[in-house]
Amino acid sequence: MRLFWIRYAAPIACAVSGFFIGRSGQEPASAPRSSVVQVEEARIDSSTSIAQSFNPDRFTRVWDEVARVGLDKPEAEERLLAQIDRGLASDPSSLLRMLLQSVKTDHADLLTKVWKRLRAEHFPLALAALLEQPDLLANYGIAADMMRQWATLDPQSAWVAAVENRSQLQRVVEAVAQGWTTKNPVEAAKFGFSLSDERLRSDFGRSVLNRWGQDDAGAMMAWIKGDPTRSIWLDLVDWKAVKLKSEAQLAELLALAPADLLNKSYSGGFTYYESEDWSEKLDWILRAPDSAGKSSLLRSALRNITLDEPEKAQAYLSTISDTRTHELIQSANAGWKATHSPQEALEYAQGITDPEARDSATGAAVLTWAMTDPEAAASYHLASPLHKKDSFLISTLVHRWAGREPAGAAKFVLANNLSADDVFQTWVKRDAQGASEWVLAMPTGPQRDQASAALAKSSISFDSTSALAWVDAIQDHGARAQALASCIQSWAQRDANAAKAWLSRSALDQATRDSLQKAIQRGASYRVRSWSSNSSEVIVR
Amino acid sequence: MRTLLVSITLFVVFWVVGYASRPKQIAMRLPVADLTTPTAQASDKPLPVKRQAENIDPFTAWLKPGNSEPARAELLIKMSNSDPARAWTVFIQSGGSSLLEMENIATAWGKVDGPQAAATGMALTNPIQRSAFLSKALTSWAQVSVTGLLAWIKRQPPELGLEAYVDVSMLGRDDQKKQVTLAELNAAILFPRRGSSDYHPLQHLLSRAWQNEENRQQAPAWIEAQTDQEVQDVAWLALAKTVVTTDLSKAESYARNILDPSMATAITSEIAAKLTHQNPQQALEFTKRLPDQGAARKAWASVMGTWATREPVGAMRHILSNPDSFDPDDLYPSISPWAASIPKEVITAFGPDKRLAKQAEYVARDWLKLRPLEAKKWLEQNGAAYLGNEHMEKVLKKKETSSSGYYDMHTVGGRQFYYRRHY
Repeated sequence: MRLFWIRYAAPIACAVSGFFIGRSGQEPASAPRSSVVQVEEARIDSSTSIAQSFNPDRFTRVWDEVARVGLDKPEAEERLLAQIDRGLASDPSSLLRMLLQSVKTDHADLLTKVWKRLRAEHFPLALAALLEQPDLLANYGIAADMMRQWATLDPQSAWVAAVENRSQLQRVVEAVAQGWTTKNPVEAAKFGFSLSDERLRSDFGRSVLNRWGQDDAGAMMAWIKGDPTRSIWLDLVDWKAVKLKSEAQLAELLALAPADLLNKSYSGGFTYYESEDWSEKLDWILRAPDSAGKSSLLRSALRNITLDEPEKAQAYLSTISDTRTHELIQSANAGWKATHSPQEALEYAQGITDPEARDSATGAAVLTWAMTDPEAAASYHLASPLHKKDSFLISTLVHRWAGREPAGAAKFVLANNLSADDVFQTWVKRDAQGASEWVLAMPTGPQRDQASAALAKSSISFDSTSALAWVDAIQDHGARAQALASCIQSWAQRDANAAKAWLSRSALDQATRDSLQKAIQRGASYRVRSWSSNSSEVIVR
Repeated sequence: MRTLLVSITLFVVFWVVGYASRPKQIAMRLPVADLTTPTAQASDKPLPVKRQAENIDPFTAWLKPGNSEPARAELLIKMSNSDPARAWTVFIQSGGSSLLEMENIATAWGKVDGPQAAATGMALTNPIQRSAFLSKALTSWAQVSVTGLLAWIKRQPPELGLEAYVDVSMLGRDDQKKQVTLAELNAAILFPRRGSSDYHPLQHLLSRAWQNEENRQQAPAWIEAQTDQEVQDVAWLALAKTVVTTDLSKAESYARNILDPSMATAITSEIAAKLTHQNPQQALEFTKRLPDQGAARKAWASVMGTWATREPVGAMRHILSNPDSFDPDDLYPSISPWAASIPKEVITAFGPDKRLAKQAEYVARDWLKLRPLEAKKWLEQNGAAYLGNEHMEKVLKKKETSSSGYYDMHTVGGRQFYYRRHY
């Protein structure tokens, strides 16, 4: 009986088990996949079998195709995001590394969508992948955006990572503070103000309060008022960016915010927010009791209205005594009128009683007029009393004119004995040869001397041979000496060694050499203090 | 034995049968939307045509009176992007004269049909409009194909001076996906150059070109083949900047080829700042090796500014323990980071030192701007003790300098005008 079972039942059992094992079996991992299988897999329900479907090669193919078509096409982006979802579900580390290797700095919008798809545990992987991409790190928006999103899910972990990698990630303190505020503003504020590092505390606190002021100004103000020791943090709020929802909140803001802080423009660094449009709250402001804070907000509101509808702002002149606001509204109205009729604009300006506002309005009318007829506007200005008071205006006018029509501007300045330096500087940058030919065609005389001097000064830093030849061509001895000193000083500002080398080779008399030596010293000592800085480094140029 | 063989054979046979008859459970699941399901086949198919978002004709809407400023700007973008030639006709027929709007049409037109846009600009009789239109049209054409534009310009009468309208500083700044080839660089360097003092006009284009690995390998040979020293300098600068975050020694060796002092200073300062992240003392040593004294001072200022930003206390201690190794004037980039981080410590340490008292005063001023309530409270109590009366007076009683104001340009309803504002 036992033999019977072994002889007949065992093969049957093997057959049955072979069938069911085969039926439930999977392909070996190394076996090539047929296209049929790939198509089948592509239909996998993303919620359950997605782990089997992420394929780096396929991701690359989709990326290449989408990059070719353009990510601005919604369908293309959807396809890519579907691939990203697959990768996140099955192999987030590889997916995030591949994605961040592929994207460029102008894919920030796509990355924002990606960050929103990540779970808290994905962010350390994303950060590690991001740290491998210096180009992306250089774009502070990308890292900050990621950290902000991380902090909305797990602020403590985001904070630890931000502090650890602060030297490489820009604006991360602010970003984490904002994300944390979105999740829990009270907790974020308490954490921020408990920080011992003064700079971290103020950067973090500022970001919390400003984000909170945007999301829920009432709660933010109540929190500050809730404890007298917090009054020191009034400093950190950009009060003009706070979003108020009611007239009562405005009253609260005017009671809470010191007037000099309302006057202060935000100087704490970068802000993510647009300033609040106070023009929408003009009626609330006008009904508020008089105070320095009210005047400040009224100025902001009227400035916004002026730049939207200059004529409407004119009607509010009597509501404010601030002379700067009057000047702004009236000059904008003069400029606005000049787009249709310069004559009408000038008449309007002359009717203004305050002398400073009158001059500003005249200037705005003249500059606007110059956009269509620069010669007429410039001639009017030179003949007007304003020219003696504001010589800077003619420089502005001529500078703009030179940018559009350098020959016309040059002719005008030379004919009116104005400085030609600015015109030629603009012209030479744009078309050095054209400028030279124009001067060559001029008849000899003082105007040509002046033009030659300006041309030489404009080109000395990049073509010293030609520039010095232009100086030589100046006929008047005094003008030539003056032009030479001026050129050498400009040259030394940029490259003192080259200027010195030229002087040592030149065959000038000793008096001239001494005078030029002084010019070189003046130029070399001129220090342009230009530097750029971000949250992690300073580069002086 | 026979039974064993039969069993194995049956197992194998039925395994094969079983495998072949696997239920197609994947296919039986609910399918997801095709568009979000890329497949091997789908990648070969063209993407679906973008659905039409709105059914409003911008050309008709443009002609309606009373369009607000933002609406007008949006309509102009839509018109220009869909059919710039028609946009121009409608714009002119509707009495449009705003230079800004003309420039916007010219920009869009130059991208899709450079020759036609250029012909339109050349036909304008008003010299200001002509110049503005051609500048935008030819520049945007160059952004799409600088080689194509150059070939076209060579066929035009030279006296028109069309090269001068192209702003090469705009090349390499728009489409980040577009690869910049060496052929495009060769064309771009033939145009006149203008640009801001901060960036050389060719810098963006060169940086984009050197981002490509293959171009980067050919870069040194390409640069050395250039006859224009200025092009050589800016190309070395761009190359050094490309590798400054990944390979500092290579960046340093590229930087040594730059003859232009301001470009050389810019890159040595950047290298110094990057070195500071790794090791401030090494960065300071690097500044000492620089042959040009001006560049060395700027690099030193970059190191201290970066150090004060990253590690304010360490930077302050270095200053205190090396009092004669620097010119206090070069601490200007460090003032703001110190004011933001350790103002009290810096004022306390620098204030009593005659050489550094001015820097302490600057920190106090910056602190007052940054956190006025906190700063004022502390300074009123302690400032005189550390800064002395003279400096304190300057800090606290510094009157607001009267703002002189300036003229700014603004556009409302397509009309550009000037007005005067104050800081």
